[in-house]
Amino acid sequence: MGKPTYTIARRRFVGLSLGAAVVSGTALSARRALAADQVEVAGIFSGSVTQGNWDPPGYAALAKMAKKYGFKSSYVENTADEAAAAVMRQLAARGVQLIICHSSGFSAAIEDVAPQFPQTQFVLYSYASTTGGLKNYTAWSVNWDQYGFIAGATAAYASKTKHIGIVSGGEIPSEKRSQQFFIKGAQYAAPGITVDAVYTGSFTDIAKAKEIATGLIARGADVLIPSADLADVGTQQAAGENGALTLGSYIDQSKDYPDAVITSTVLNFDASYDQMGALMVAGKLDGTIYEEDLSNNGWGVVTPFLHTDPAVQAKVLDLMGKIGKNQLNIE
Amino acid sequence: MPFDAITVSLLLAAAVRLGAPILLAALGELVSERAGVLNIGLEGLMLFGAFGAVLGLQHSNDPVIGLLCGAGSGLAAAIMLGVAEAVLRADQIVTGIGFNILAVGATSLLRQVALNGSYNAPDLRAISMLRIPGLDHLPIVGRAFFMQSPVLYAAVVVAVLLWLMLRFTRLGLIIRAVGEGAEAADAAGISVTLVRFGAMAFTGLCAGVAGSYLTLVASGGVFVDDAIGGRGYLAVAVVIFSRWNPLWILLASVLFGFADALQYQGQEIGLDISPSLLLMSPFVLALVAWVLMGQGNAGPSEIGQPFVRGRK
Repeated sequence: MGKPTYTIARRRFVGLSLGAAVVSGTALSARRALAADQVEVAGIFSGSVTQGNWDPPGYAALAKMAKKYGFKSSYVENTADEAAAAVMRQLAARGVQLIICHSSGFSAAIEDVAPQFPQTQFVLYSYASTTGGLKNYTAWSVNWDQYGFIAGATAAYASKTKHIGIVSGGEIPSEKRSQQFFIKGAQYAAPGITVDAVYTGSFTDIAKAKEIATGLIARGADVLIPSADLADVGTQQAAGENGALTLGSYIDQSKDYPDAVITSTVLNFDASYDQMGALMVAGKLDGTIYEEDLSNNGWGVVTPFLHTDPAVQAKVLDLMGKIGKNQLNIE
Repeated sequence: MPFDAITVSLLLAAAVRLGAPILLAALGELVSERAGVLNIGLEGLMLFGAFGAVLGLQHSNDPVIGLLCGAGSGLAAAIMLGVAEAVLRADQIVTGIGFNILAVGATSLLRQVALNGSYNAPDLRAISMLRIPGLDHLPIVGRAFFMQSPVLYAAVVVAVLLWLMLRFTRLGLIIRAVGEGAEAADAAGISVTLVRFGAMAFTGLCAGVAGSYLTLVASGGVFVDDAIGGRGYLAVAVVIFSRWNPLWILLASVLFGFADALQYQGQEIGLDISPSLLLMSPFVLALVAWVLMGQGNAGPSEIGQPFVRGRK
């Protein structure tokens, strides 16, 4: 028995082929139109989005925002400040409509690139004192002065020896300013307190941070403030291993160092990124600087405080309330 | 704050601790350079060792196994580099620099794929601290020399053994002969390629342990991208600074560690010097070492030159 054969008339074949082509073409153009309508957002990060306590929560907030608003998202990590402008140009030229820069170090690059791409919205998260009058450069600016003041005061209130240490990264302007406000906060909480402040020269060298922190503890500091991004791990390890106390930064780190972390100063990444997405959808990103401070819950601390007298938490929360209501000038 | 006994004790202890990874790597580099290979890829070898150590630790929860994995990773990476430089006779400087760049990217990628970012390391005291009873409480020197990692004590023993080996054994003579005159050594029936390859493998082993020290002992079992932070280049400088003598390497490593420690202790005790100036001190020392490389004739005469039979 031979195999059955199937035949199709030439005219019908041509008709079917044309029909299929029209249907596929329509579907393709519809898909292209949909893709063209979909907003594309890209994040630029100074470090790795899988390491540390600054970039990973920022990346997670970006991903949540993109999913919620139906944006197509991508990211570039480990971007040096001097490379940021080139990365932004490349993304903007590719058609990305919203570029979010997760570091204050990128502000100069935005001011340079944004005027060349007026159809692209640029957003900075961290700190900005100006957006240069640009309508397509909007910023979410954390009040780091308040942040530093409260961290310094917390360490001072918790210190039994009235001797604390600060382990900072590079000696750059933002770090210097942070140190100033750590010290102001500590001296407000405990006038006459001894504050040892040291720069490691690196934001990634854990071994150096740990060595410095160990030295500070040996000199009598019983509470350490970490301020060196990725290298903070070294400070927190040293505190945990030598019976001293420390603070978590940006996210709740009490589980990582359960014997050492009093509390963590936490930023509200999710809320800020969500606001960026909502304003983008509404077409209302317009060059405004959105302050993230204690008056609007832009950041806060994790409660309850651990390893300290309950009075420490009460004093810190009271201080935060006063600053949030402008009842205390920290300058 | 006064420059008291506690300050001196802390400074000395920090100098020894900070010099330890440089010492370990420099001892390995010494053998390569004695055999005529300027192993600029030392930084990358340390980085592979650092990554391998944390990977081993995370899978075994045992710091000793982590240390062995780090040493093995350094060795494996050195074999790759050795094939390029000793066997295929590629330019040592160019290959070494390229290898360091490759190591940064490769270990970063491997970290994302293979390491658990939220891993909590177990107690690492087995490799991080060994107190020498009776001596650890000596004033000033107790903390510095008798409360250190057993890995560091092992490095001191290796330095002495290397000095003896290079000075008094046939193997030492062969290594020096290959570094001083590869043509003559080749004519005498010595396989220059094999000796240089073996020397580079030893370098990889030491660099792997140095990287492991950095992540397991000094960083509590945490690996971050580019974790070595230039210490590999400092180790190369230490070898030159020590005029290729393993015993001098012991002292030079502490000197470089001291320069590193002075950065921080100087800030802590309130030395009226800009932190930026203090922070650059180890690199100033390294620069001096590189300048010294061109002075005198203490170094192996064929350092950095690939061996090609009959080229002269």
